[in-house]
Amino acid sequence: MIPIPDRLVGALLGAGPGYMPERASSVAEGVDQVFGLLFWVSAFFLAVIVGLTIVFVIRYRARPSRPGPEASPDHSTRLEVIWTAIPLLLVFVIFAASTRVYLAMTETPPGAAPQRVQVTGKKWSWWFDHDAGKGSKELHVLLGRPVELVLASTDVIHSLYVPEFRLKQDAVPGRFTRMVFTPTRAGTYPVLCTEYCGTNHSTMTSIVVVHPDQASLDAWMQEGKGKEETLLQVGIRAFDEKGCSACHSVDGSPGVGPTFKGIWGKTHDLVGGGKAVVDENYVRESIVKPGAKVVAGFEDMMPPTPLDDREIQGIVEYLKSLKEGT
Amino acid sequence: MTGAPGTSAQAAVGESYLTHGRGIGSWLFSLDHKRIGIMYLALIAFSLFLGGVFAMVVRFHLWNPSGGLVSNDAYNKMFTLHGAVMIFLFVIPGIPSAMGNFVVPLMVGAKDVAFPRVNLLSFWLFVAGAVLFVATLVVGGIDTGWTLYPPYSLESSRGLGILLALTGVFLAGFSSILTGVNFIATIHRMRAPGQGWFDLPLFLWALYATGIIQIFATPVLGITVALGFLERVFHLGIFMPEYGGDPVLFQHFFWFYSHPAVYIMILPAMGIVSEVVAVFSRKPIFGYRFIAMSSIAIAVIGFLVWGHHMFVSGQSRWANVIFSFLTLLVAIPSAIKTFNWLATLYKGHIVLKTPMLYVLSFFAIFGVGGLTGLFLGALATDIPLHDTYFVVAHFHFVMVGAVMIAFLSGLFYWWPKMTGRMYDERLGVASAVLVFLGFNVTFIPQFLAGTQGMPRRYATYAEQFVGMNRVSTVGAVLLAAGLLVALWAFVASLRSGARAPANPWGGATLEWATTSPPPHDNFAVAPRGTRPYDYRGLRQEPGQAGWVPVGGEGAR
Amino acid sequence: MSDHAGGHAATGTPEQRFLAHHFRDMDAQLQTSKLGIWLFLGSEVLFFSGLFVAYGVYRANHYALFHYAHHFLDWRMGALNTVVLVSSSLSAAWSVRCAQLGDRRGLRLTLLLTLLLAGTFLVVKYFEYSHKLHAGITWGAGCRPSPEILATLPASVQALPVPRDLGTFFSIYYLMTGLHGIHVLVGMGLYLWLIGRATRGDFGPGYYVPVDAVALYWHLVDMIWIFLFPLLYLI
Ligand code: HEA
Ligand code: HEA
Ligand code: HEC
Ligand code: CUA
Ligand SMILES: [Cu+2]
Repeated sequence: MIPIPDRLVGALLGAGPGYMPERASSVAEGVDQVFGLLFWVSAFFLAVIVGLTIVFVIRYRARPSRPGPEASPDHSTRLEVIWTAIPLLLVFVIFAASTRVYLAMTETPPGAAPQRVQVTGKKWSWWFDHDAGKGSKELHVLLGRPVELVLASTDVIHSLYVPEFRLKQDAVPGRFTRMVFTPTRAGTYPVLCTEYCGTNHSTMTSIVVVHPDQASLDAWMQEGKGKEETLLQVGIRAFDEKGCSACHSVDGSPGVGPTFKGIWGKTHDLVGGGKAVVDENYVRESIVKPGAKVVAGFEDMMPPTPLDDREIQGIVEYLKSLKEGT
Repeated sequence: MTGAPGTSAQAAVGESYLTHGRGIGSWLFSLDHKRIGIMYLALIAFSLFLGGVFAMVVRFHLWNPSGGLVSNDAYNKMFTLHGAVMIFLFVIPGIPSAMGNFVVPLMVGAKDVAFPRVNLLSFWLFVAGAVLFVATLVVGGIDTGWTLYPPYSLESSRGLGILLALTGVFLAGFSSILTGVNFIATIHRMRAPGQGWFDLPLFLWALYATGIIQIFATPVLGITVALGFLERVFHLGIFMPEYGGDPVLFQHFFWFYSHPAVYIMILPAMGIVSEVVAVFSRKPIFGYRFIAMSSIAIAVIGFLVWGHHMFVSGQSRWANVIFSFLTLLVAIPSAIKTFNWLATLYKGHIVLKTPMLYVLSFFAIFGVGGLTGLFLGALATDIPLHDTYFVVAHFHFVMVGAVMIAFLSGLFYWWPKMTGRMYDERLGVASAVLVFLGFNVTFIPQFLAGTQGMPRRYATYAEQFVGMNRVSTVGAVLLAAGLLVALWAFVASLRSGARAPANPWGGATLEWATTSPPPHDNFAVAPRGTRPYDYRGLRQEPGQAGWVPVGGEGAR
Repeated sequence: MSDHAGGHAATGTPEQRFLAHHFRDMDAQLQTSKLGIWLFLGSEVLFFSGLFVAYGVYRANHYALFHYAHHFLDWRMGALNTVVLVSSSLSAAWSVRCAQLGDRRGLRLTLLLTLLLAGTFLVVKYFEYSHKLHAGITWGAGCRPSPEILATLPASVQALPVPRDLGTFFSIYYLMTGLHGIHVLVGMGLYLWLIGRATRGDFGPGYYVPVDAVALYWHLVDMIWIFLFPLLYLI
C-alpha cells in the first residue's frame, strides 16, 4: 500500500530545495515528500473553501434583483458521508506516508557501524564527544556513515536542530535521548537550539561538518588530540577512584555487584519482577538511584555515588568498551 | 423581587438591565448574567489590548536580525507575557465568559444562568487572576514562555514572578471551571418549554461541548500549576531533575489540559460562526445535527491527542505514532463543520454585513490554520517544524485568524442586543477588511520562515529571514489598525449610535425575541422554544425598525 | 443583591423563602443544583487524578523505594482514620434523610456528628504528621529519617540501606494527604454553616438542597481517602 503515496508525491513536487533548506541527510528526502503531499492536499482544500465562498457570495448575495433565498435542502446525509469519507481517506494516506518516514528516521540506518557521539547541551552551548575520543564544540561526521547521537543536558531542556537534516531532538536533564541519521551531502550546516532555554537561547548555535572522506575526518580528529581526556578515560578513572571496583569486576569474576564484563545491552531480571535493558538511562539510574531497580540475585546495597554527567557518560563508554572488547 | 418590567414596548424606552439599579456597586456585585457578561467583556477587550501591545514590541524588536529594540531578556519576557495574557486572559475566557454569559440564558429563554452567585464568584476569581498577572509584570515579569516548562521555569534563581503567574493561572482556571458548570447546568435544566435538545442554537451545543472540556481538563492544569508552585517553594522532587523529579511529566500534565484548551477556544468560535452564517444567509443552517455532534466529537477526541506537542521530547516512538494518528483523526469533525457552513451559503440570500464579513474570512483562515495543523500532526513533518515559526504561524491562524475574528464577529452581531445601539456599518466593514489583510500579511511569511528553519522564541535570528520578518511586522501594524477601527466603531456607537430594534438582523433564536437591550428579567413574557434557524416567520420593517414576526407578537 | 428571592425571614413557605427568582419551581431548583454539584465533583476527581498519576508514574519508576517507604507509615492510624471517615459519611447521608423527613433534631445531631468525626480525622492526621516531621521524615531531598524511627522498622527492612531519594515518596505522601486534608477542612467549614442554618430551621422536606449538596461533596472526600489509604499505607 505504501509505494502509491510515494509515487504520487514524487509527481507533485510541493517542497524541496529552494523552498525548503537543502537536503543533507538520509531522511530529508522522505520528509520533503510527506510535506509535499500535505502541501497539495491543503492547497486543494483551501481552493475548495475559498473558491466556493467566493462563487456563492457572488451568485447568492442579497441584491434588489434577488427577493430572498431559494428553496434548498437543509441537510443531506449523502453529502455528509462524502465529505467525511474523503478527508478520512486522506488522513489514512497521510498517516501511512508520514509514519513510515518517521520510523525510518528513528531507526539506526543500515550500513557501517554507526559513529557514536555524546552530545551535551548546557546554557548556552553544545559539546560533542566523538567516539574517537575527541571532544569539541562542533559536530564532525563522515559522509555516508550512519551517526548515532546520544543527547544529555546539564541544566535545562535544550533541543538540537539541524534544518538541513530535517532532524530535531530534545536534550533533557536527568536522562539520555538519541537521534540517528546518515549524512548524504558533504558541507557545513548550522546546529540550532529549539527548546527555549533562556537569555541566549537564540545564539546557542554550533555547526556540523560533514567530511567528504575518512581522511579529512581523521585529520580533524588528530588535531590537538589527547589534550583533554577522552570520555573513556574519564570513565575508567571514575571507576577506579569512586570505588566501583570494590564491588564490580570487569573480567567477569563474581563480586558484591554484577560484573561489568559484557553487561552492556543485556537484559536483566529485577527484584520484584520486571526486566531492564542495560542502556544509557538504566546505567544512569543504577548509579544515581541504585535502589530504584535492583538486579535479581543481588542485594540493594550499592551506595548512590555522586558522579557528574560527564563521569556517567564515561562509565557508559567504559561499559560499551567492555562489551566490544570481547 | 424587584423591578419586573412591563411590556417589551415600555422596556424599550424605559427599564433595561442597564438602567436597572444604578451605581458602581450595582455592577460589581450584580448577579445579573448580562452585567457580569459586560464586565467580562471589558476586561477581556483590555487583555487583548495589553497582549497586543506586547505583541507589537515583539514584532518591532524582530525588525532587525540582531534584535536591538530591547535586550534578549526583555524580549523573552515580552513573548512570554504576550502568550500568557492572550491565552489565559483573552482567548480562553473570551467567547464563553463574555458573550456566553450574556447570551446563554437569553437563548434558552431563562431569567439567568443556573447559579448566579457562582457566576459572580467566577468573575471575581478571574479578576483576581488577572490582577496577579499584572502583579507579575510589576515584579519584573517572567521569561519562561507561556508553556512554563521546568526545569527552566522553576530554577531556584527565580523570584516572586513565577509564583504570582502560577497562582494567576490557577485562579483563572478555577473561574473557567465554574463557568463551564454554570453553562452545562443551564443548558440541561433551564431550557424554555418546548425547546428540545435539537431546537438549541448551535452556539449552545458549542458551549456545551466547551463546558465538558472546561470541567474535566482544567482541574488538571490546576493541579499542575499547584505542583509547580510547591516544587518551586519546597523542592518536592516532582518535576525538577535535580531533586529527583521528571520534567517530561510536567509536559504531559500541561498538554493534557492545554491541548483540550485549544478546543475551549475554537468551539465557541465555531458556535458563533454557525449562528452568523445562517442568519446572514437567511436560510436554515445546513446539517444541524452533524454540526452539533461534531462539537461533541471534537471535545471528546481532543482529550486523547496531547502527546502531539511532545514528539521530540524523548517520549517513546510508539506513543508518538498513536498520538499522531489520533491527532489527524480529530481533524475530521472540523472538516464536517467547514463543509456544512459552506453548504449553508448555497442558494442563500447572503447579506454582507460586518459580522458576516468576519465569518467569511474565518472560513479561509481557519482552513489554513487547521490544515497546517495536519503538517504538525504528521510525525515526519513535525520533527523539523516543531518549535519553529511554522508552529507560531499555525496557532496564530487558528487563535487570531479564527478565534479572535469570530470573537469580533460575535461582538458586532450581539452588540445591538448588548447595548441597544447600532454601530456604524462603514466602520465595521473597514475593520473587517483591514483585520483580514493585516492578519495574512503578518502571519503568512511566518510559515515560510518556519519551513526554512527559523526557530521560535528567538530574540535574534539569521540574516536570511530578515525580509519575511519585516513584512510580518508591517502586517502587524495593519492588523492593529484594523482592531483600533473596530474599537472606534464600538466607542462611536456607545456615544452616538442609533437605537437598535429588538431584532436588527432577523435572527430566529430567542435572544432576538426580547428588547434591545433586554429588561432586567430578560423577557416580559417567558417565551416558548422556537425553531432556531427558521426565518419564514420574520418580515423586515422599512428603515431602522429591524425584523418583526409576521402578523405581530402572536405568531411567535 | 436586589435580585434573589427573599431574605431568610423564618416565616413563609420554602417557595417564598428559598426559591431563586430564575427557577420555575422548587424541584427544578433541586435538580439543577444536584447536576451542578455532580459536575463540580467530576472536576474534583480530575483534580486529584493528577496526583494519582504522579503516584503511579513514580511507583513504577521506583518500585523498591516505594515498597521500602511504606514501612514508615503506621497502617493502624490509617485504618482508624478510614473508620472515622466512613462513619462520618454515614452520618452525612443520615442528615440528608433527616432533612427530607423534616426531623430537625435528628438533622442537627447528624450534622454535628459529621463535623466531630471530620475533626477527629484531622487530629489523627496531625499526630501522624508531627510524629514524622520530628523523626526527620520530610519531603524531597531533605528527608533524613532519624535512627530512632529506623530502629522501629522490621528487621528485614532495617538491613537495607536508606534509599537516598526516600523523600520522593514522602513528597507524594504529603501532597496527596495534604490536599485531601484541605478538602476535609473545607468540608468542616461547610458543616458549620449547615449547622447554623439548621438551628435557624431553614431545612425541611420542602428545601434541603444545601444539606444534600454538601453530603455529596463529603462522600467524595471520603471516597478519595478510601483510595489513598491502601495506596500509601498498605502496598
Ligand atoms: C484555537 C486553537 C487551536 C486549534 C483549533 C488547533 C487545531 C489543531 N492543531 Fe494546533 N496548536 C495550537 C492551537 C490550536 N490548534 C497552539 C496554541 C499550539 C502551540 C502551543 C505552543 O507550543 O506554544 C498548537 C500546536 C499544535 C501542534 C504541536 C506542534 C509542535 O509544537 O510541534 C500540533 C501537532 O499535531 C497541532 C495540531 C493541530 C491539529 C491537527 C488541529 C486540528 O484541530 C485542525 C482541524 C481543522 C482542519 C483540518 C481544517 C478544516 C478541515 C478541512 C478544510 C477539510 C480537510 C481536512 C482533512 C484532509 C483532514 N497544533
Ligand atoms: C489568542 C492568542 C494570541 C493572539 C490574539 C496573538 C496576537 C498576536 N501575536 Fe502572538 N502569540 C500567542 C498567542 C496570541 N498572539 C502565543 C500563545 C504565543 C507563544 C508565546 C510563547 O512562545 O510562549 C505567541 C507568540 C507570538 C510570536 C512569536 C514570538 C517568539 O516566538 O519569539 C509573535 C511574533 O510575531 C507573535 C505576534 C503576534 C501578533 C503580531 C499578534 C497580533 O494579532 C496582535 C494584534 C492586537 C493588537 C495590536 C492590540 C490591538 C487591540 C485593540 C486595539 C483592542 C481592540 C478591542 C476590541 C476590538 C474590543 N505572537
Ligand atoms: C557496595 C558495593 C558497590 C559499589 C561500591 C558500587 N556498586 Fe554498583 N552495584 C552493586 C550491587 C549490589 C548491584 C546490583 C543491585 C542493584 O542493581 O542495585 C549494583 C549494580 C550496578 C549497576 C547495574 C548493573 C546491572 O547488571 O544491572 C551499575 C551500572 C552499577 N552498579 C554501577 C556502579 C558504579 C559506576 C559504581 C561506582 C561509582 C558502583 N556501581 C559502585 C554494588 C556496588
Ligand atoms: Cu538551549 Cu535553547
Ligand atoms: Cu495540541
